[in-house]
Amino acid sequence: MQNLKVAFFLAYKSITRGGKLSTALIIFILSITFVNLIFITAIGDGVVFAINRQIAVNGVSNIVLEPQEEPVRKNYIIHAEELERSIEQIGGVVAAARRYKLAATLSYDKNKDGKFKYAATEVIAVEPERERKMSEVAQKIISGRYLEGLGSGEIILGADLAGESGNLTLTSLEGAKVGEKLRVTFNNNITRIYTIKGVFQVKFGPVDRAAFITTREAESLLSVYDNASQILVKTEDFGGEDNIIAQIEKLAPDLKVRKWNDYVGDAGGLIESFKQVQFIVNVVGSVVVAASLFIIVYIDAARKRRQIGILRAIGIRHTIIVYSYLLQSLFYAIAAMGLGLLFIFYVLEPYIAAHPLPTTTGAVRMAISQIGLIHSILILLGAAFIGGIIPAWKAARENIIDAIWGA
Amino acid sequence: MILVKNLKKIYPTEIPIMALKGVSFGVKTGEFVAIMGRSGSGKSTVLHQLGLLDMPTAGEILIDGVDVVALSGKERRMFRLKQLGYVFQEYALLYEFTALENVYFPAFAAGEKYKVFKSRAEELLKLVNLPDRMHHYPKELSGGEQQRVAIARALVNQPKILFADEPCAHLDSASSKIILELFLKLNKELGQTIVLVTHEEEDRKYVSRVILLKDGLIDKNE
Repeated sequence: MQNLKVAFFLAYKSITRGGKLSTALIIFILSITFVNLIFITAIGDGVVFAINRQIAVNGVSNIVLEPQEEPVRKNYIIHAEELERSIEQIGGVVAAARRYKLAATLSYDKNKDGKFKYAATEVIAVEPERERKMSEVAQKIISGRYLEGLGSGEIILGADLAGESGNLTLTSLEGAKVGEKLRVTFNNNITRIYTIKGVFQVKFGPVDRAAFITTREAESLLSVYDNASQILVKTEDFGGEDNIIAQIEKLAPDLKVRKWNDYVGDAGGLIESFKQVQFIVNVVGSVVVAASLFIIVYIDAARKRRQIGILRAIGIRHTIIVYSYLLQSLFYAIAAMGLGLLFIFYVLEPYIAAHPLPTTTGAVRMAISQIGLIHSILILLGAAFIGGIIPAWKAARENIIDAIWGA
Repeated sequence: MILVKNLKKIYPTEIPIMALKGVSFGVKTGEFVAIMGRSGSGKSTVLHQLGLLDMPTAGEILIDGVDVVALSGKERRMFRLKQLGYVFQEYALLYEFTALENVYFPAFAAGEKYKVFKSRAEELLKLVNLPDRMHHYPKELSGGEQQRVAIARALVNQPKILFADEPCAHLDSASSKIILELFLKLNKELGQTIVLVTHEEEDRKYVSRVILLKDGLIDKNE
């Protein structure tokens, strides 16, 4: 304890009597590194959050029921409407809605000259009113209108599929407009002509590249009734799905029941990539902090070589000198942390919240998690510890005579 | 008292330098002794060994019967902190500390209570005639004043022996006189044992005995 008191006194005198400008500069440089560590982590987490949100909100909702796979694989869930109603009786369930999923090739004669633009895509058949509770498609119509009632002959297209606002992708129809006709050939070789009723954009690629029709229309195409390719279930809270899944499995033991995160699919690669980027940034950030403090302490210890020699000649333990440098390093790191956190919470996060980063998975905001924050703080403190202790240890171990008289 | 027996020091440079070739002498408690000699005679080397700043290659140093050469690193450090005072050739103050902080720091490091070491440091600064410079930093003090602060610091833990390694080497004659008279006062009035290394012949008049070194050996012990 006494050693720590003496070390604290040495560190206090060194900081308070040291150059104010250089101290401010050190803290500023370290705070930039700290902000960078948190920013990259938070943006990475923000992307992951945006992807997960899109999957859960616009992709597959919270829980997905799919047709029986064992012992015999079936194409559809039968008596789907009754099952929907039963599921909706389970506590914590907001709504359930059935869907048909069809593969189709869309043909669009943009200039009415017989030159068609083709796009192979997924056509999702939904119950329009129930679907309003399941996804944002109904709210994110950017031109035209959403599907209504049991209407047939109408289709709505995702913005990427329609080719709206310059969204030209491989599956784009390059500017399909509301009110125009679209020829759709389904994989059962039935071809129908639809009127484009609306174009939506939920900013989630897999959905924005799809087309939506009504379940009634799909049933007439597939010659089925009250079936479904999937039943989606919206729950009140994220995280409470497992209990509801258990109850659904009792209701429909033959069906395949999955949670939204089983559908991360291609997005999982993106999430992994972001984790790798975060790891690299963390490593680089740690090295920058450790190297900065190493240089700072090394230069300071070299400048104070004689002073360190005098301290040791007086009889001050070398570990006290090391502790004092360590305390200085930690002071710089903690001050940088404070400055960085102020900047993050009062400048950066509010700014990004007001101006989210547009991405293909939607608007990305900083997602600052406690774990991410603690992780960044530990990296900074760890790097400060290593950066501070090595040169201080070296300086404090030098022979007293050499240190004082510069041999 | 100090008893030095056959002290040898070889610096392991490319061509080893034998700075002390077998030095033996004694210093009684309450004595004010000067170690003199030309440059390179080994006088500072002797003081480094006596002050436990360096380890001799061979020989014994007994301080009040304690074989300080045989002490462990930690014991040597504690002995240095609590039993010995050392005044360096140049102004060896801690420049981030005030005069008062410089003086009380060794006592603080030795674990004494704040009130005790602060009051003792204030008394010592009065003793070295710097009562109005307590809160000044070293750069605000003259060379002579800095050296008086260094003496006060060397005394704060009430050492058995005060070592001074050419403390007036960088001072003008007036400041040197003040320092040497201060040593004399400490010796006469407080009975402080002092070992002074100097090359100034005129410093002889302040000390009770001179040990003259030549080429790493004692030339005269008078």
